[in-house]
Amino acid sequence: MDFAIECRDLCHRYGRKPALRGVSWSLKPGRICGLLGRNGAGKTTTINILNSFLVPESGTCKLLGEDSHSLSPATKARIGYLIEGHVQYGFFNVEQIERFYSAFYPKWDASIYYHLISRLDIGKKQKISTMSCGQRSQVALGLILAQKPDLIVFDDYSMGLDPGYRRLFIDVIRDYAADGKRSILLTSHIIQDLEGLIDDCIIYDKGRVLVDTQTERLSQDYRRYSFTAPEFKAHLGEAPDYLRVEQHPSRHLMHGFVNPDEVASKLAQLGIAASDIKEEKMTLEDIFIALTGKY
Amino acid sequence: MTRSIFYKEWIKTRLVWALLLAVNLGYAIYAILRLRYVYVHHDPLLIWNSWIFKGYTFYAYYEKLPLLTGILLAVAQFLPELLNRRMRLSLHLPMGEDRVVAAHLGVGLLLMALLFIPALLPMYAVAVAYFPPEFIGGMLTTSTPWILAGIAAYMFTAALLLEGRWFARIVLAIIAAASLRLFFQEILYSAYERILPVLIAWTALTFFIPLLSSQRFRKGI
Repeated sequence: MDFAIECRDLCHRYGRKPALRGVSWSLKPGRICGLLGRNGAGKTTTINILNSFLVPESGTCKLLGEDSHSLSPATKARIGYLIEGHVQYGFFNVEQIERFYSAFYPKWDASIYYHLISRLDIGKKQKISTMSCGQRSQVALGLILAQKPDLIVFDDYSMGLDPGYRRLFIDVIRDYAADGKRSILLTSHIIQDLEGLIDDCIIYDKGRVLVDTQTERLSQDYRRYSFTAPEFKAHLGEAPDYLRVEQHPSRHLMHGFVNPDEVASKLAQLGIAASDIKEEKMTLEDIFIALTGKY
Repeated sequence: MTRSIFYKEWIKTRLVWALLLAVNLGYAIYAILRLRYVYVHHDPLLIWNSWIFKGYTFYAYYEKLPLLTGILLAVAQFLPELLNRRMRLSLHLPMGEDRVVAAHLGVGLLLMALLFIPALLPMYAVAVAYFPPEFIGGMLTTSTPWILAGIAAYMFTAALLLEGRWFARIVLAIIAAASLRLFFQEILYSAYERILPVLIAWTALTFFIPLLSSQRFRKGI
């Protein structure tokens, strides 16, 4: 098995509206990958295909070497899945739900679950439906980690969580993946949380893969420069290096996969008489917004 | 694993199940008192004439209760799965997807049996004590369509809740209403005797409808 997840040429439409247009990417074993994109970019459609709740119009998707729509029970037992909104069975209490899930997973480790629960201000008899979203997220996470899965898919793990629970969630994921044997795919709209966590980064835009690279490389190579210039009209066309230019009242911005020694010439090629060019630091969220736009 | 699914379904439905048991037993007690009243206060010749020749059913009060029981039990079982599309959790369990849904339906059938048997057995026991065997056999064939209607109603309600699209739900609801009407064309004594095997076969087939709905749910149709 070469990949934990492998998507090839996924295409899907809702009615006439295309949701995925030939999406291909893969997740190598032992890596943590962030699947990012703005609302409607196609992330949820991809997650639904991955979790076999949607058949794509065309293309294939494999999890741990098996087609996502015909996973064997043994392979399913190796995959943990967090549903958006930390959905769980609300009628169970903390103990009952552990008893229920433990029967299904051969590698089940209840101590992982109860260790997470012990950090929360909840009793073992508390019903899940009476918990806060943050508490429920920890119960859902504890149940997934107790399975000791080889592959975990976290669909919008940050939804509804306050900063404390978000940080806790990330810390737990980081600890769990520390042995380098677990493959993790996660989606989130809180991109700043993923900085330093995800090894790889896939960014969707309008149903296509815009960027698929190592996060470190993206942070190193995608740069932003500010400069001053008289009013200009830049014609970028289909820039292969994701070049973007923004005009602002004081200092203008240019970002893209551009080295510092190429900036001046690139700007000159665009017909911009730039001066006082300075490189600015970019966070992962800055890069994401620069690539996918604000509108 | 199947035991765990039973455990989950029991925790989820036990309050509704207990309520339905109380209602079913209440109706059964009423039917028993009614049968006893008929036996005590009416002339045997008149009972024979009404029951056998005119087809009058003295215990018809129980007629629609299995139907209501089936619908409510399916709602108690599958509505929580519908909310937030929680069925995804169950379908992700390491079992075959059809087997997961079949196990849920099996639990529902078992819980229904545990509602109908305690209600019907005392009714038949009292009837056996008071009336000749001709009446008892007829009682069985008269009340069997009601029980079958309860099972079919359970399957249709489960399918409606598992179905992903509203249009499909509406179509299914129309089929369900037409289909369930078949079970209540007549309440006369032994009216369904000849057609009973067909009704049993049709009820058995309804087991596959929720399975088809869950397959459609999985495909996102």
